[in-house]
Amino acid sequence: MDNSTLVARPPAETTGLDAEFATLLPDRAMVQMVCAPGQLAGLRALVSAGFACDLPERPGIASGGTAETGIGQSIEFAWTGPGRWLAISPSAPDATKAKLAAVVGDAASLVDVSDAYATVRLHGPLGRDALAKLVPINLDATAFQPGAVAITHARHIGVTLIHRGDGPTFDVLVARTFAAALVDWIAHN
Amino acid sequence: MSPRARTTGGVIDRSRTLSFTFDGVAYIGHPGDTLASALIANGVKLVGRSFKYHRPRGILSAGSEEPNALVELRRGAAREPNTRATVIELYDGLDARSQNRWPSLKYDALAVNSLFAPMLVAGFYYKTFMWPAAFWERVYEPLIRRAAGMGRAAAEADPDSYEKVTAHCDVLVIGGGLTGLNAAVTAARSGASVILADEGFRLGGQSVAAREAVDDEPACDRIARLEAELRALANVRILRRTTVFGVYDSGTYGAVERVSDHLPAPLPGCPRQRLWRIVARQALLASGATERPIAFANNDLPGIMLASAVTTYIDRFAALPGRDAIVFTNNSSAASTIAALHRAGARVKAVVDARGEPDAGVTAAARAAGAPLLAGSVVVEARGRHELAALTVRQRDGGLQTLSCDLLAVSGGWNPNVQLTTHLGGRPVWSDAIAAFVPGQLPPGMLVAGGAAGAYTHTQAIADGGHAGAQAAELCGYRVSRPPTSSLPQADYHIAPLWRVPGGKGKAFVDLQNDVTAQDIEIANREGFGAIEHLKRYTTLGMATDQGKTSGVVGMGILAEQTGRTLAQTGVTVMRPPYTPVAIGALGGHHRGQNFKPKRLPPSYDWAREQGAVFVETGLWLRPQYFPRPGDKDWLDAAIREVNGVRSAVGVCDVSTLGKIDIQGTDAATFLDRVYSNTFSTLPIGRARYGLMLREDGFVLDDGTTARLGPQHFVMTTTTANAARVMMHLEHCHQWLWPQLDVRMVAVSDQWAQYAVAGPRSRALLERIADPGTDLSNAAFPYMSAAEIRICNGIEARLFRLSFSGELAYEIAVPARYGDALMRRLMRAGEPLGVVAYGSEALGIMRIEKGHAAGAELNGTTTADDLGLGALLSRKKDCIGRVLAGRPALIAADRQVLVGLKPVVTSQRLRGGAHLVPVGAAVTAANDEGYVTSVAYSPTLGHWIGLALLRRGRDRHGQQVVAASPIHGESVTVEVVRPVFVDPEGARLRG
Repeated sequence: MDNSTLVARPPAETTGLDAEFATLLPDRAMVQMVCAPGQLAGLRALVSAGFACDLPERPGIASGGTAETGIGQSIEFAWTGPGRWLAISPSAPDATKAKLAAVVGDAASLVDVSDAYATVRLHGPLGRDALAKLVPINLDATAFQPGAVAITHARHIGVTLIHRGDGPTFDVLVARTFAAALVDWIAHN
Repeated sequence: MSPRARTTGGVIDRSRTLSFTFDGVAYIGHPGDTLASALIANGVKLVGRSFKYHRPRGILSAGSEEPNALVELRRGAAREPNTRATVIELYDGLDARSQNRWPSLKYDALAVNSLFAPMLVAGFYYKTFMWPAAFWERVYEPLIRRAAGMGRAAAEADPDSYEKVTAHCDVLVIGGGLTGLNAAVTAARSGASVILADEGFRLGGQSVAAREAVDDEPACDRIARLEAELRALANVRILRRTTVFGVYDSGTYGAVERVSDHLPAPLPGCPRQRLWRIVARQALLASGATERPIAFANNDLPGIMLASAVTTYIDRFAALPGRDAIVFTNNSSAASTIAALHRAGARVKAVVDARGEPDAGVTAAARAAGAPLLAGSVVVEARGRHELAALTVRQRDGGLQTLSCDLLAVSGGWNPNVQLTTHLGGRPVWSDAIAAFVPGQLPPGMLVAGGAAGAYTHTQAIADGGHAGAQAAELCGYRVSRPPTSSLPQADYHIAPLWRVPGGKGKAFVDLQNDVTAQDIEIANREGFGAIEHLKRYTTLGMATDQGKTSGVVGMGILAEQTGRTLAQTGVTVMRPPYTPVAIGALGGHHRGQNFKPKRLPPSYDWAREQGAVFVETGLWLRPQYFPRPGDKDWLDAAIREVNGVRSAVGVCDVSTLGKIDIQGTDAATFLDRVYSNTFSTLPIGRARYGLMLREDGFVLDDGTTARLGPQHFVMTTTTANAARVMMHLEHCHQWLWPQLDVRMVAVSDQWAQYAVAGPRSRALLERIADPGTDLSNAAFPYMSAAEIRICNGIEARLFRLSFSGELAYEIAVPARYGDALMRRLMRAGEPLGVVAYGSEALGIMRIEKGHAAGAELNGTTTADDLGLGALLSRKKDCIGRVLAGRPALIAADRQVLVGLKPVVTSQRLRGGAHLVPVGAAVTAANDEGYVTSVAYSPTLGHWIGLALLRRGRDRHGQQVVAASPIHGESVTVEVVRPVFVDPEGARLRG
């Protein structure tokens, strides 16, 4: 009997994304961290101590992590709502969640959402122009700075947008089952 | 060979020749031409027939205000009626046809309408086609529509693509004439981000080829210089061929860019048109002004044009509209037309100036052209069959003079293009100084400058543009260095208002597009429709594609004369978006066909497609409906096979579409007790429970199962349809009702690929993929168990022993990236067990066989008790909806409640939506006792079954009623039964 492990696959119908300015990123670890009531200061201190990272207080992303954090090179925290951050790491989901749990303890609950999102990276002026056809917000660096996060919508699809910086480069986090629809929009616009 | 009316100069590219056809005749033009200018250059004057009287019509204007020269463009699915020849950029192979004529433009059969003209006046349709009423829809309207057509829309789907894009800027400049260009440059120099949108294909507006000097420099050279500077600035985006058509709240503007309309077909990857949503901190309206005509008898003959259009055709397009010209004006702007005609070699036979004392400019221009200047004179009547041949002029002394000519350039003054200033409720105000309406209250964040503000001359326009551009930039917080004073140069514009010349023989047209005459306005006023909005509706003045850009104010002027009111008292009709016509396709953008809504694909989608599954839209989801196999006659055959496979062996179904919510926190159990009607705080870890959720008003909101994974950790499932709604409900409850509770929720619907594995061999199948040491025996993992396990050599999974089908069944969930692989593994490992994949049809059949309520029963009008779930309304605690569920009407004994139905004659089919009436009773609303919510053919029972909501249904098990479906012409006698058809004791699912 075949007892081999299961092979991970990208979301359905997302292979059509072959544009130079747009790529589907490989799955990464994503853990939704929700602060326990009254624990905000404590959580900030724990994350600061454990990951050398200040949790952003506004819609933005901050990176931390060192060799000593034990979860690879880096971990990032994207603000996704009051008291909520999405931890993103290139490490494995369970290892990332375990490390986070060890650092934050009872100060926050952790939910593995690594498979809940697909990430499309748009880069360069063409990528920005493509994004302008999707989202209603102002993408100019004067309004949406590198390191900023926006919870918005792309043609009726809810997205979390991260401005990665130079190029410019934008990461569009979309619910995994909507990935095909987003890719289709990008490919046909 | 150059066409006969092509002159020298102009802004056209003579090095390239473009071929085009109009009504099947081949002509040539050049890049830089519009269809109208190319037709003029080829000596074509007659281009269409009018809307009502089918009178011959020519080209009136040189811009988007054109009421007359509407043509049908392209062929087949791309055919587009009512395009304005004056704005169509010529391309090689262009194929245009005239409209409203049969059999040909020159000999139009319906021109006899002109003979009935005395009858076809304002209100004719309203008065005539009254009786018999039944004739309106079937006879009158189709006849009228055919006769009064405005071109033919293509019957096929639009073959082109459209897209939408959002842009943000500091300053949006609307209009790229002298004013707009100078404003854009001034604002951009300060560092402000600027978008300049211009409807033309060449910047410069009406001054593209203007030779008048501005600060000792020809206006056209100034334009070139400003455009070059703009192009060099990185903070400027120039949108040509782009019309800003509407002003919306919070500094939002709608614009349409005609990306490909100037090409034979859109380039690969390019849309036909692009809809821009522009968000601007400041907008600057520099839309210029539109010249208006003067009404006199037969003023619609081809060969009668607006004076500024004549200038434009000569100077910009090198196309001479006539050789024997007369100029008729009431204002100073005609001087440039006189000069242009003279320059181009036309004979200016007379300048007819309605003013007693023409200004110096017109006087000098007439003298230079060698034209007699007839002061205090008016054109009374035009004559000609298909085009202008002669004019009758009444001179100051009252004497009539007939002058032959083939061109009349007419100017009745100018209307600032104020339309965009009114979209948010502003009303234009009358200015006696320029005899025109100028912008009144402006929309927030909008400035207006140049011709649109009534500053008509080149010198004024450029100064006003610079001033307004600086002001706009400053309002955005940029510093602009400019002279402290900003007073406009002295206006050099003189006008004596003249709306119409009475006395001639023939119709004097006000609105050429709708065939509204000066007489129609008199009639409307006489009949009590003298208020401006009434006048518009009664006469159709100012309707259709041009929205009265040339006609509106003329009509108001005539109405003012009739009523003895001033124009300020008469007012203008409300102007609404769009400024010029916008293709519906552009508003839809990419949201059409498959992309009308975003599609949502479950994790096993790719696999299901490989299997040839037929998909069904469920909300946004595309779910497998059934999996056809060789031998299946139809969908029902396939569904029956799938049901039988589940009930006899094992089946697998993707149920990832169910909503999933991770709920944690020290108060998670308390929270669940409050949002569910039944109790969850007592749920042991490792167990799941069916839960019912009510709305505040006491009706059922949703149902589903929630499992407890830890002391403070639950995972909830919702129905597919209500996933987002339940999440919002829970967030509302937490954030507004009980913010003090420690509850932390995360939507995890997309995280998990979840499959139902159902049937007597489901345990055997799962044992084949579970990692060693997993005990799935009934003792270790009984009905309603939940556990985190490992499968397929270490993959984390969640296993729930739940059953929707009524069989021994499980739901297994893995992280979504493994969803595709798990489905393939289950099907392969299940092959020896006879596994089948089943879709939503089989799922639906089995839930009806088990009497589970679903969307058709959870319809917002049913209570827990209606659905037979009254026991789930716990009396030991409070919950959302509990109080209002106790309202008298919700607990009345005669409510319609859930029952099962089976046909008395078992070969008969049941119909969803059929209404239930007593046996022997008439099928009337008065006898209605309920209706059938869901039906299915039950393979297990071998006949159709149904679920229904029936009055006092629980007391009527065993009785008979009639299920009547008038739309099918069927009435079936059915027996009322308990709504559980298969395994009512539930022995199988606990096995």
